[in-house]
Amino acid sequence: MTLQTERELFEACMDLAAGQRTAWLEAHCGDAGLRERILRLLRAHDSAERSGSLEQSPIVTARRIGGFDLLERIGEGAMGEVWLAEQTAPVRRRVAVKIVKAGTGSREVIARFELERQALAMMSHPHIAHIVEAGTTDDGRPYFAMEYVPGIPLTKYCDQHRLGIDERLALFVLVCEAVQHAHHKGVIHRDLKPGNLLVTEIDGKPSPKVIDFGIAKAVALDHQPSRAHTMIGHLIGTPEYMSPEQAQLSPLDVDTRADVYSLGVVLHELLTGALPFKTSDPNATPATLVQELLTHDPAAPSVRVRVSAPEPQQSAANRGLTTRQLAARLAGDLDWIVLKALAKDRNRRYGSPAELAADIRRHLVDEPVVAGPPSTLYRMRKFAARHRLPLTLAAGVFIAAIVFGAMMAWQAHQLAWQRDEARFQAQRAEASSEFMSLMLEEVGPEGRPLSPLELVDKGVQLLDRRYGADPQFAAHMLMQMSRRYMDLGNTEKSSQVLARALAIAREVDDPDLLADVECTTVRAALDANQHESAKEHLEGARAALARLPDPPVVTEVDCLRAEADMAENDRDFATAETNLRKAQQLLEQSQNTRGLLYHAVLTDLGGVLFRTSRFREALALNYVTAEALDRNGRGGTLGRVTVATNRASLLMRLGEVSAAEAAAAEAIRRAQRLRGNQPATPQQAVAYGIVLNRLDRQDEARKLLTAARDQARELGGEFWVIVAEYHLARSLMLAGKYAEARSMLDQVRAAWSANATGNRDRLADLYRTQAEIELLQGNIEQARSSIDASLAEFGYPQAAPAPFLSAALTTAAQVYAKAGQLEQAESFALAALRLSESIAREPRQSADVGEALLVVASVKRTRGDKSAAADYARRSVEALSNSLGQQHRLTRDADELLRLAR
Amino acid sequence: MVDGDVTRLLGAAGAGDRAALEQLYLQVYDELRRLAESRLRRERAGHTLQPTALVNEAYLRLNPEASTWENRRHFFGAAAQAMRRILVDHARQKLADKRDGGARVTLADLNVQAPEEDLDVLAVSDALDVLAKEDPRLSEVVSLRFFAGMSVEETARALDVSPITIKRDWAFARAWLCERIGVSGTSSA
Repeated sequence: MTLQTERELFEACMDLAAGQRTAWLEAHCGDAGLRERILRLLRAHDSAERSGSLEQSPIVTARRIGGFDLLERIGEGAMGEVWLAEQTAPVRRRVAVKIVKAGTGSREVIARFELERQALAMMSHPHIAHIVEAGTTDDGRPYFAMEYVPGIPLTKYCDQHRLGIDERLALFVLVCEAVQHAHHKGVIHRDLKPGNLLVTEIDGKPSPKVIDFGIAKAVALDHQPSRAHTMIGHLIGTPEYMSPEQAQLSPLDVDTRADVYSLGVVLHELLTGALPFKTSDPNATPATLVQELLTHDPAAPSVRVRVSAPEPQQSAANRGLTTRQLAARLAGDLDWIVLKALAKDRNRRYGSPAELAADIRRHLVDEPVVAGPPSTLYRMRKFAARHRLPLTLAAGVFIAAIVFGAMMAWQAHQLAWQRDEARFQAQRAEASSEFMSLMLEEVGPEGRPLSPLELVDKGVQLLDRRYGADPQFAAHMLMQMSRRYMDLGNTEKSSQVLARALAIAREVDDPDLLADVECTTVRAALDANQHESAKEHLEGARAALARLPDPPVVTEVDCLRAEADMAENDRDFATAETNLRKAQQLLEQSQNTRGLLYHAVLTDLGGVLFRTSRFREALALNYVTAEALDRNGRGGTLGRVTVATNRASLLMRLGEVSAAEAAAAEAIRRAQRLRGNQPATPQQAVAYGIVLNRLDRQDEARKLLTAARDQARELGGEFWVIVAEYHLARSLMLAGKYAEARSMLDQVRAAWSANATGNRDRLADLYRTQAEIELLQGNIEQARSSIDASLAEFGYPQAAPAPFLSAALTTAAQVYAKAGQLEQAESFALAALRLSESIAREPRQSADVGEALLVVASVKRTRGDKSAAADYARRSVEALSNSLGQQHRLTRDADELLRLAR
Repeated sequence: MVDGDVTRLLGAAGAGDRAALEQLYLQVYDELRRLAESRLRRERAGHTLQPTALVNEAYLRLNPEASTWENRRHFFGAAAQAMRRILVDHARQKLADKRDGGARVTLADLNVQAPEEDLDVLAVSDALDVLAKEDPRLSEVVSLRFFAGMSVEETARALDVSPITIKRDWAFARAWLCERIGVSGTSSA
């Protein structure tokens, strides 16, 4: 038999049904052996058709992904594998690498995996296995490498080491905090169980780590919602630890409280050694389990340990107690806490792991737990326990009862806020992180890093494409985009995007959204020097806010900030400050001080203090803001960089120029750490440039400011282009290039005059610069008229002190001295001195004070008062050398003056 | 590697010059190997190779004058063979590695994974050798489809037959191979 024969027979039978094949072969082929062979071939054909054998050519993979050598596969889930790998550089260590399997599922699944990965990369917590590296393989499989945790499950650890109840609770609280951190970043674990809570020992002390924030979510979203009993094959997560809603609902509806439930199960196990639902039946199918989960109420832990735990004596022993002692210990608070965490109705559970942890902490310090009964007796018992009062003290009990009433009411209110706020933030965070990751997935031509502007542009396009059907979400995201544009200083794009958001908000007619968008638009309009437009939008915001009976804190705060912005623009600093302080208070009261909004408010407040020349207060606030950011784990953010840059400006205003230089350099370093090799933002470069000018390093300043201006132009940030040019003009002046300086100043002046009110201080300073140029070129008359204009613009002498005023007064003194009006000159000089002394933190460190002293000394000497001149000159030398350095031109001038005056 | 070179070789091979055909094969193999290695060296992502992509890229780089079907056929035939050799070499290396437990970078350090777990590339290659003795054209179809990852249409174009012919060839060849391998991984030879 030849291949040809086989083939002919095969092809003849190929399309027949199985039963018919045998018949046909018997009719057409006499050789039994050959018939057998053909049937085998046909079977192979059928099987190959079904399983697609050989359809895909082999894929070759390296055992190397990213910077890791894969060692062995240590786990496999429905969607991916986990490998133990070794990182060789920069350090040698073991990591766990999780990869989506090749050929798995849809693009959707992979996209969701990306989303998880993105969110996970944003987490940074000592008790969460952190991400070491993340990326995509060549054929588009996402992977991430995370800290490998060589630990044992929490429950096992506690049993092995015979940890008592208090110690177990302490470890559990750490776990709750970790999960809470993840919730803040918009990541729900969905599969919390002891196997994912590994304990290692650090310096002999146990340290739990949450691992495997997994692809459970990625998978879950791919499935249709279905009833529990038909979901057997698709149960994601471990049934014993799964919340009722996970077993039932579409996974999209599952929120952070599912994790709370799972934590409740773990807590139950930690305390009693048993699971809340009986799983002793080895024949129980997942469906049975789920049935029980949905209908039966678990017994209280204290009852469970006495009655139906698998091995009651062993469990107690593992906790260092007898069965009776254990039951007694668990009775009361711990029973209530566990049952509350396991509530089937998620609205009755703790709203977040933080709440659960908080109640446990209260229990540990004998405070009433929220899960407990509302009875006064309970509260009083706790009070007594806490303060070790004998309960028989009648008067004490009476007072205690009053105090409690007040405290409990306040506490309940706090919790209500927290729950809503947390959920709201969690939803927001989750949606944002999904969007962000989708955006990053869509962009990125191979190899080339996208410019910030391109990235934001893409984001806007993506919003249009994908979220047209979900206007609220789109509007919120558009506002995020507009803020990014504002970060880049591109007010035009920011406005365009906001206009779109506003259109959406109006269409949907959601007052909360409307208020939000209008407020954001106010700020953008002010930045673009569009005062009228800003006013209109502020009206719009007020109207929208009025329609909300109980506005969310965040919205109120946004509106207060917008009011403050407007007031500031109108130079009504008092109103601005009032509004901002109110905003600060609102956030503090609602315990929302860990978010970026709080820091934005503090920064705004700092700005107002700055503009009313209360630099000391502003600097103090700056330190507070920085510290708060660092404490909340935001030490590495852009916001933090802004705070660092502001510190430099503040130090400048206090006259501490050398300190300002160090601060500006640090701000740039922070920015570089954040953004890699990208150049410093225009804001920072300008801040640094200003300092360099003052230190007479005008060549460096010029290079820096030119680059800043060009960069700002590229980013579309007109505002900073102009500011950069202004200081560039000053550099040119200091370098003696007067003509260039003048023409640049004219351009800047034209630009700022468009919003003369808002830019008053800046214009005043510009006139001062013009006066300086005139003075340097010996044009006394023009110098005088310029400096007069400057002082008039400042509103001197009536108006409140403004930044740069003392500089203007010093210049005025110089001009008038040159013009021969010595008395006037002296009075200006002394005014400058008084002002700068009142502003400075430490007058002997202030360059402003030093310069004022120098001018006073000079005038005094011209008027013949040598001893006073010498005195002032000496003080001037001290202040100038401290703030500007020994070699600075002004310091040497002061030295010279001192010498001559002796 | 000069463009004209490959074209010349193709022409010669088309005219029946065996030496030219061998030379062509060597050059294609070289190019593919180099491509594969450079792909794998790229730092960032996990490295995977899809033979189709490689073959196409090699085709573009070598840029032969492939106006006649003969030329195309020779080229892709050579590419498929080369790809097969690369894959088989590395499957062998992996077996060897498992025994010494060595770990290196570059092409020597590859896992050859066929998407269904039960298929062994080595087994397919061995079985293909046997098939080639009986019917070289069938073997070529499998080679192009499986090792070079070409689609039915592409294969049809390369061999200058209709797609239907290829489909029929493929159905039989595949059944033959699977039967021989036993679809449980190891070669039955």
